[in-house]
Amino acid sequence: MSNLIKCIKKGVILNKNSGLIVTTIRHAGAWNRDWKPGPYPTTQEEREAAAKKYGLHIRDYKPYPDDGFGWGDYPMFEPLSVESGDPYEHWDMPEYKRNLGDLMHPNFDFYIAERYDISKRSKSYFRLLGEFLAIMSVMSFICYYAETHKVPKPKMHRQYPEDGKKHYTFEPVE
Amino acid sequence: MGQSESAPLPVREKDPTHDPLYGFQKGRKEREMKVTPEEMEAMKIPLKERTYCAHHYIYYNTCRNRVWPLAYRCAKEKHAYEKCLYEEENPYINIY
Repeated sequence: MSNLIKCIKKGVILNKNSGLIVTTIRHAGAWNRDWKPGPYPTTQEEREAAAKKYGLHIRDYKPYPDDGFGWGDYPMFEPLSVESGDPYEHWDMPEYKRNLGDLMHPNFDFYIAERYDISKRSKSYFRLLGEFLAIMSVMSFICYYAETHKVPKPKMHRQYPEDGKKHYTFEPVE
Repeated sequence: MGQSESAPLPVREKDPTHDPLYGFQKGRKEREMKVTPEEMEAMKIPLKERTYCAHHYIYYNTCRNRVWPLAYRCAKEKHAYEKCLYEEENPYINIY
């Protein structure tokens, strides 16, 4: 026990394990509390400071209303869907089509590639009707063809013992 | 007559037209029905099942009623019934 206390006093563990120091310092920052937005800006100086913090011009910067939801000074902006991003651009994060330092919408996970595309154009009614007719006509043709060109198993109906009918086995009479 | 010479498949709903004794000098054995229509009616056998395998159907279902819910004990009866159905298929394919 006294050895352990001596080691701690002299800093032997930390001196011998430089990796321990590195990981400790690395994990001292970039926690959730470091990404938390600041308080709601009230004065012009605070607004300018917040805009600079998020990399926006002061005219583009507009915080969320201070209605108790806790957005603080986070900027309010129109979201961009991942699906509508340029697929040929050299993104820092290709799976989300965003670069390092790009602003992230609070509902970012709603606009990822496999979910909602906010800038998608809906199909016209003419095209919807065409798709409906195409699918239905193909399916009805298959049904009609299968009904009229049946391929039954090549065998006769079952033999029921009825009066006046003789049914034979395949064994000859000796 | 029922069956056509040019049709690729026999018409199932009609009776076979060829002579059933063709090629059998002394004739063929007749299929034997083990149960009478009165017995089948008394046992309330479905009309679909009143074939030459009806006695196996009766054995199987009476066994099931006797040992229910331990229906696995009727494996022999079930096998006999299904074997009868299976062997019944061969004449239906060969006659037309």
